[in-house]
Amino acid sequence: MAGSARQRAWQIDLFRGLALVMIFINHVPDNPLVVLTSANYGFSDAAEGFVLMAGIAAGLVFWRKAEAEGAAGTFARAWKRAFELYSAHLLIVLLAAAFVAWVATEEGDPRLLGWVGLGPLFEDTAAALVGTVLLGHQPNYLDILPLYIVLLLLVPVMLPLAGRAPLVLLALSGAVWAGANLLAWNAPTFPSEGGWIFNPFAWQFLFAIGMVIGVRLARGLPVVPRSNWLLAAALLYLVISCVVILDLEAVWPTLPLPWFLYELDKTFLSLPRLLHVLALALVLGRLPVAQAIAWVDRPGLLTLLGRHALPVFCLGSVLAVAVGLWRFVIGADPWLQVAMVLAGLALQAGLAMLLDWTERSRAAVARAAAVPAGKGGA
Amino acid sequence: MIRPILLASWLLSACAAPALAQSCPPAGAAAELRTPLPRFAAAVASGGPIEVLAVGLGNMRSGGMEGPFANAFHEALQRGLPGREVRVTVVPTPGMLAKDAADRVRRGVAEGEPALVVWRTGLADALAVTDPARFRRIVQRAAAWISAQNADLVLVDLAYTGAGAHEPTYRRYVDALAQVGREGEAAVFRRYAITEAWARAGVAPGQMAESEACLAQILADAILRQAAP
Repeated sequence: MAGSARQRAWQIDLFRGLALVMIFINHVPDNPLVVLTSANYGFSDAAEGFVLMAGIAAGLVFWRKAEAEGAAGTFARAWKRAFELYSAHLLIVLLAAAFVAWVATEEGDPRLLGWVGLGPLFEDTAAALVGTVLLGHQPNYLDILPLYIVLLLLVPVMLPLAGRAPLVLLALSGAVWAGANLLAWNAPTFPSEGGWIFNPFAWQFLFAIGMVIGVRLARGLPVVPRSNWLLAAALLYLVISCVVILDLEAVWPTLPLPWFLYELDKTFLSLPRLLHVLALALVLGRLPVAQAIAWVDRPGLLTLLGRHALPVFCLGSVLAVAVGLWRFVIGADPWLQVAMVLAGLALQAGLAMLLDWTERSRAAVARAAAVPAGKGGA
Repeated sequence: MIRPILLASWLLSACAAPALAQSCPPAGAAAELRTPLPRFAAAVASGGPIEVLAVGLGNMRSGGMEGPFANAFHEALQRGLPGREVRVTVVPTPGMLAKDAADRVRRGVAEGEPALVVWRTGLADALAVTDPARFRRIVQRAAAWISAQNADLVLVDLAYTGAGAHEPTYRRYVDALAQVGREGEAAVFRRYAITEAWARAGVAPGQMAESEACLAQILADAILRQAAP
């Protein structure tokens, strides 16, 4: 069973790496490579996949840690991780803002200061600084980490329930998701109004589902339903979703139902998007898709990216802001845009390789140090 | 050093308190909406409260509630309809592409049932250099949906802040919105044309907040003219 869990962990890294690649491509909107990303072929996009896998990874890692080291240390570890993410978030907002300020100044065009919603930092600096530190001002494309921070802060509440009473966790978490959708609960933004793009009250449900899956994996319990009927239903849902998304002329209907049951609202993670990512996860869990991708990606770059998800994501976020604005300034043609995006991905892969090499070197040094001192002597 | 200094002065003006639209430069024919607003006119004629959804109409980019545009627009509409209750709900779309903002427009319309939607869009798409034809289709699709919900739509296009190297890029999105207007399901408030004419005539308000307040006043007047019996 441990081997099976390791196999699953490898798959999680692979899909997490794939989600990171897609998120980076999507954050340079309408570049020619966007046709390769899942957002064009279904209701959900890579962000849903990323949060689901973050939940699975959190359940898997923190449950094992809690069993080995106790709950208190594990919860402290989750909060320490949240603080690391917070620091990383502030750094990438600062880097992105500095880049945008530099380009706008060089070009003498104040409209560029509005890139990815950074405007308030320049127009209303005092308020936006406070907002940034309190996570109330989140530039576009730099808004996933704040959600992830909140989710990690919730680990001490979610993890015990995911282990001992998963159905209670799913019911409570689902009730909060539905309540957020029905009553428009959202975390506040400041100085702009409108709430978080990734509404934590809604998105915590997907993380909780992932955590329940992760804890089951850690305990060696089955996680993928074996029903072929369910698999067929999931495949059918993915196909229908693809057809609807590809029809650019379709006008969304207005139904006599609560909004979130049929609309495609990313902020509130409406039902069609939630079902889509779960259907996708079921299909990917049942069919040998990971093996097929690994066969294509023989050097294992995606797994490597997924294993170092946080630093890769941070570098990717800053690079996406830079590539996105730079291509506007130089008027990049489609080929140059592809080259810029591929160069950005290469830099992220380079970072992942460097981090992997550093980790392996450190492990080798630790192993050497563990050898008894007298063994190599005379 | 000229460009950084100009930029700094523009930023300082952006932070200034909203100015009252006392002496706005004339906008001429560019201010006319050219498309009737029958649902808004009907709401005005009905005598009841008038619901307006203002999307992306905060200050120039942040979309905040306290922006000079949103405040001045609300005040100007209220002044033009004395004794009537004018409710303006602001839906901020800071830095959002039209495809993402369209979701917020739909939600705002479904929940608020406004008679009029004013949607400022195009800058984020221009900076992201999204496909202008796709941008036009997205806005057109949203316009058709809004029309089916029994609301009128006024699209507000981009701002002109000086003849820069990228004006041809910005103009592609101005043209895309104009095309949506010509197709008949939305009126277009030609902010780009108005602000460009001001800049060329050397009469543009010196402060950004003042310029925004003037544009909001001109837009409210244009909307009220379309609703006049």
